[in-house]
Amino acid sequence: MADLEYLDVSKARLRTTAGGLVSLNLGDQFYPKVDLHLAFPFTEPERFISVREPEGEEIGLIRDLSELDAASQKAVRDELSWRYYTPQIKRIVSYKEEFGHTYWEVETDRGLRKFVTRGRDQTVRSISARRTLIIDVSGNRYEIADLAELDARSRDYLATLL
Amino acid sequence: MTSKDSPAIYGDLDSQVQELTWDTGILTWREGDKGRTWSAAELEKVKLHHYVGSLTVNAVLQDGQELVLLRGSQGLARQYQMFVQRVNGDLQGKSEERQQEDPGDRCPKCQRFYPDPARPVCPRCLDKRSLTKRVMGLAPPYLKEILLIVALMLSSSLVGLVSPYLGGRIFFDEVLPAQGRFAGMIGQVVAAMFAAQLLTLLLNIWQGRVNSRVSARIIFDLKTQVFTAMQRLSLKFYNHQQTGSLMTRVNNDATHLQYFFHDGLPFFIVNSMRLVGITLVLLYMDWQLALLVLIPVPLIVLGTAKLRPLLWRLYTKRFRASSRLNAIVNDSLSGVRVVKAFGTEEAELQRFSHGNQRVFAVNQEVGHMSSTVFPTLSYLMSLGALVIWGIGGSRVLRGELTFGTLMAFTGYLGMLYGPLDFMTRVVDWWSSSMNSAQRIFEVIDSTELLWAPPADQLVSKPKLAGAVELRDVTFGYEEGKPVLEEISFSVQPGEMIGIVGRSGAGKSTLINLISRLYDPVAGTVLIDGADARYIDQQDLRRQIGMVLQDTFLFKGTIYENIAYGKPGASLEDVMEAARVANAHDFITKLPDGYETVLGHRNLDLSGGEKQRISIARAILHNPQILILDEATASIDTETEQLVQEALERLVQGRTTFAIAHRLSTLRQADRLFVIDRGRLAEVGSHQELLKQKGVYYKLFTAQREALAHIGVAG
Repeated sequence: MADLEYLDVSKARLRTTAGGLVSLNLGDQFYPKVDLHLAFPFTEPERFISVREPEGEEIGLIRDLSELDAASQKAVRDELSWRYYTPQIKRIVSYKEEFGHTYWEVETDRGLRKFVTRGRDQTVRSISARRTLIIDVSGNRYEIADLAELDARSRDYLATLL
Repeated sequence: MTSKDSPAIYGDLDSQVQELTWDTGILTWREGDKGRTWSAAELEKVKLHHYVGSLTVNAVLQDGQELVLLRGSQGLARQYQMFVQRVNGDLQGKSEERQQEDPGDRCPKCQRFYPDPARPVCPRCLDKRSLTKRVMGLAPPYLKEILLIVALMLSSSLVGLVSPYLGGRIFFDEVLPAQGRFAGMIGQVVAAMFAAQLLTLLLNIWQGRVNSRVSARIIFDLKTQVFTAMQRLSLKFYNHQQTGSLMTRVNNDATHLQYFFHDGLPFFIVNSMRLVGITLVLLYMDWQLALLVLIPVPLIVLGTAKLRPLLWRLYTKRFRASSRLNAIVNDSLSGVRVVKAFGTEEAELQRFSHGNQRVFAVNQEVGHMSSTVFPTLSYLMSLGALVIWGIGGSRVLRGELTFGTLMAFTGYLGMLYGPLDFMTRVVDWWSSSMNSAQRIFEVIDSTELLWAPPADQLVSKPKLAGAVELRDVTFGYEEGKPVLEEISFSVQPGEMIGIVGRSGAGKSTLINLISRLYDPVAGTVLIDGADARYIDQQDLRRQIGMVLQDTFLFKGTIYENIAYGKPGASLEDVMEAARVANAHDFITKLPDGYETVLGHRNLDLSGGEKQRISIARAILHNPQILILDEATASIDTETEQLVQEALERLVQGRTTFAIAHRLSTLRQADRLFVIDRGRLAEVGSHQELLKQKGVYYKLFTAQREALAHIGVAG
């Protein structure tokens, strides 16, 4: 098949299982565990969600999460929030550059976080003019939704990284 | 059976911490006062999942049910991995093998991360002397010269110090007054001053000559070392590094080091010596006045120290902007075939001017900053002169200071400001001259343009059918050396043509002519019956697509790479094209999906994956005439099937010219053109050509034997 396959929203029911996984009921077919992948994780967090068998074939794409029933929407959102876990940085408390690493302390929507980033090229990814991701040495992601809301000093520092 | 030590692992994503332990066959999960346990008999295994933003440890029970135990941040991967291995090892009854201790990525002494993760060396805990030693390690072969340079500098500084003393104190206090020691000996003193100045000049010339010789040799050695190191680095390194950045790094850094050795370092040494020498002489002549004169100095030093990080940041910004610009230029240069083939010169120009604007803006910022900072510092310094004239002058009137000393003071002060000024400018000086774009512009400027017809003769072909005809076409890259001679053929719309021949026979050249990257020296290329030279280039480019052997992907997201030939394509269009090209699957599995940035971070796509992205690009581009240049070469057999399938879909309904080394991949071609020594030797289907027992037959049998020999079916 060479065409894109979208999930039949009238039949698809996604639920969070007792074990904390996501299952998919597709009319006569039942998948006890499915993987969710965002095709455009930054710009389209709720559209074009690839629903796949664990480590396997794509079952179908969710064109738009809002087309699904409320319970499915919740199950998908919960799962995505874990899979694409990205604390939002509200304030940069401190940063210190030393030997090519930056030691950060930031206030996020998930509480205070300390992390370390290496170098510059691998540290920041700008998504739009004002929206930026910071990626630490382990691969954890932190998002700054709006650079303009940071204090001038932090903004200045980030500008050198971008 | 279970290991003695049983460190717990923790989930760190929630404010509520979860804990998981494995002890004597019992798996225990706790969160606050809640808790659950599983015995070894209930468990099949535990699993670790790496998601894009987090880790998850799941348990799989004997009844097949799977549940989430813990979620944690990525930094815990090693701990989780060891835990999972330990539990699974125990569950399978394997005696535990102690894992070899990994050096980790932090310094065990100070917990700082190693700058280079592959090299467990902590610069803080490192013996600093070894680094200095290494830099000095470049010096021994030139030890004699270096000593000579230092000696020359010292003597020139010393001699330089004599002049103001002679011209000030001696001249005014000992020569001009009648009671002076050298009263009236004007000629001799002037001669001495002349000699001192001449000596300084000669010493400087000598030192400069020795210096340029030595610094050139050191740089040569250093460059050799850098390039040798680059040879040793893996290909992976080059994939990670933007080529432009690398270029900038090697060339610029070497140039900067040369500046440093040739100008910066000697000036630095000379000026430091002058500073010290002058200060000593001033203190010797009149320590009170000297102290007054030196008052602004700490201010200047302090100001510079404060401003340096600020400036440094600006310079870093400038460096990054210019290296990004280089990367863009390099990108479109190395992808120039793709740029031309897709007719996206405009977009490239846009991209370039974008980067260029950024460099401009940063340069402006740097300019503003330095034109504010440095004059202010100079002004601060000139305050010292006022002190001398004011206080020194009144002391001369009171007879506490000789006029000669005052003159010597102003002389020395003049000499003091030079080095001080230099010291404050060292940073600026060191960081400037970064832009190597000039060289790249030369390359751009030298690109030959194709002949364009007068505007009224331009043929517009917004929709091609795809008929291609060559009439007596001859072409050579150099005059008098034809690569192709008198080629004539006619291809119907939708036909697939395989182009066959030994390497160097002229296959790629033929394709360059069809896609009008070049014009023939003689003869005509006709597309839909019209001379290709008269067809609007934009129309032509838009409708000719290419999939090349050396797939060229730009720095940018996968989405942008696929949408390249059709800017503004919708997300669905791009996904659809990727699907047809058998690429959608592997793309969605990437952490960032279609927004994965290529040529960035630790992403290596395989040859087949890159190939499928470029096929998706061609599919979206939807050309009427398609060119496949060795499109399946350099692909592993595993993905060859997927790529082949994608290509078959792509070829449908388009006029296709395909070059392939593996003749068997051309079996689906309607006709084969056999090029031999620049001429079209044979035309026909695979079967027909085999029957002819000509050039193709020889090629085919030779290849089949070669392939059979190495164990690959032809």
